[in-house]
Amino acid sequence: MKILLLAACLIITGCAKTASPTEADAPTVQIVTRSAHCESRQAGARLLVGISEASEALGKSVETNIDPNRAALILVSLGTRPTPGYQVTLQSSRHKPDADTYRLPIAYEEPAEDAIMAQVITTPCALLAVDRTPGIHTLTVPLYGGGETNVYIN
Amino acid sequence: MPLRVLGKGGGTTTDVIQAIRYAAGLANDSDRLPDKPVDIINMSLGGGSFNQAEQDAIDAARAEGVIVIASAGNESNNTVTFPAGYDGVVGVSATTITNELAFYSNTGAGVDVAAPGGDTSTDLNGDGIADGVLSTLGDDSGSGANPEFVYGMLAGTSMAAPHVAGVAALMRAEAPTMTPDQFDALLAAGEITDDRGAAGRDDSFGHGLINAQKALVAASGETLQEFIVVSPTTLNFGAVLEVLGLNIDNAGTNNATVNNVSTDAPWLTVTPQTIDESGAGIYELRADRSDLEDGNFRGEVLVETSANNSTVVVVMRVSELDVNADAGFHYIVLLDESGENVAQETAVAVDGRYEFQFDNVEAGRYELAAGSDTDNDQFICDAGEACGLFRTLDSPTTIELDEDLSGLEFITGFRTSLSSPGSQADDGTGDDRVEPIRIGPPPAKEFAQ
Repeated sequence: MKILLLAACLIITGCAKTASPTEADAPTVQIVTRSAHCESRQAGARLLVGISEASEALGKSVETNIDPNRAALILVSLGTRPTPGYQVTLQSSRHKPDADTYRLPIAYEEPAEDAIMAQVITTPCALLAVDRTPGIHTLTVPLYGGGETNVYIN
Repeated sequence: MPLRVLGKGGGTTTDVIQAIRYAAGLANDSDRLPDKPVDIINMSLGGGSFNQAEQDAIDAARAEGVIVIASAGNESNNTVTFPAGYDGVVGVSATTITNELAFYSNTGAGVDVAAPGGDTSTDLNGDGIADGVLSTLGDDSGSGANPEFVYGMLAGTSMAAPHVAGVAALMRAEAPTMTPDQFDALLAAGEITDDRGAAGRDDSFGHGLINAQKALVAASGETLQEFIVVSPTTLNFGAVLEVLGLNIDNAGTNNATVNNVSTDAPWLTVTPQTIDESGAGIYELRADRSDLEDGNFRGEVLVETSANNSTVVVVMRVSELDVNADAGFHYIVLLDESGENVAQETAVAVDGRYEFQFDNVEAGRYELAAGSDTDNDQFICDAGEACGLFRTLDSPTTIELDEDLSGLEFITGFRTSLSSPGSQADDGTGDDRVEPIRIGPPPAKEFAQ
């Protein structure tokens, strides 16, 4: 009888771990670099395969020691904007993963409504590095202007 | 005199006012004055709302003889931003490489003149460089304490305004006593612009597109000279093409006449195609390879006019092997003025030629491109892929489509080597600066405010 109880307990514990990941299970996210003149003119997000692709996408040389095998490189683009001052920022709080999906804790900054700005068209974007975490296969990226998109990282 | 009024996050009206007053040699909060006040103020900036103190500063600067110029703004609004919207400020809208209003440019009563602002989403001249304006650029997005200062191809009314400021500076050099009112009068009279859009002043182009030559002539009190412009100045028939076009345009006073267009090449004939009473227009150049030995041929076309003469170099190649040239499975793409793919066909080489036809195309202005997509990335003209533009990669030409057209011949081929064995189709495409061109459904172009 004691043996049977022990087995049941183990099973229950295992189920609970799978169903309720905590903030501690969230992958680490960092902004590697930003650019105001990226190639993409549409708001969106996509997975980059390596640093050279990142340099091409950002229109400038990206220098980082991040290993794309250990961290997914995600390009987040804000589309075509009328002035500088638009950028991706990282929120301090971490979200709780939802099964195999993690929502990136990012937000977007805009110039103040009455700000005086240079009148130059920009195509801002940010390069994010998201640690590849066991069990997390999909990143949900909030998009500039509303909506979201999913990026599959493995 | 560069005065910085913007930083990360923009700037304030107070800083702009102080900079205007300092530049004009007026008392300001710094308690300093420049050794020599400026003649012209350019403000490639905008934002905020009407501020009487700023209007007063502009009025004071104008009273000191300073011409004040500012960007109309980039929000695609029908109201210009401030400071372009203040009385006494020359508001500048932006045009593209084809002299049309840029998609982002503000319009409205505050637009006085238009100038090139560019559009970096296109490469309509096919030079491999975005159609922006070469600009100084301080990039402070990196981790370093100081911005990286570089040059970049940028677009915006910030790029347009300095064109007008530069022209105003040229005018001031020619006529040092020219006042802001006199500048405004010349502008309103159309003396320093080419009219665009609706006849006379309109809210998109103001009094027209700034013209430095006309402005200098107006400032000097002299009269325009006659002259003819010929383009392109070189033409390459390659190994396949039989017909190319030559544009002869009347410039200056528009009074020059074309007296004679001739060639010294016995294999080349020149005939008028679409010309006006002055002889200006499009001339057809036709190459005849019959009875010619294999080899490269060079000739000249001489354009003689009442104003000036021009010479166009024409080259052609004859090679028996060309009928067997094959640059692989090809996509032929029709691009609209914004560079978007609006139609495409596919073709294989037969006797060294790719045949194509587009049906049911709306009237408009288009460019034609062709190339292979050997890496299947949905782009032609990548490195190592065949590529061609009508009429040539060196001189892409916009097609005005308002009726059925035929005989649109151009060369496609590999761009890496002009002499690689077995690749005769690469003749005349020796340019590796063309941006890859998307095939398949084009992405929707958007500009959300």
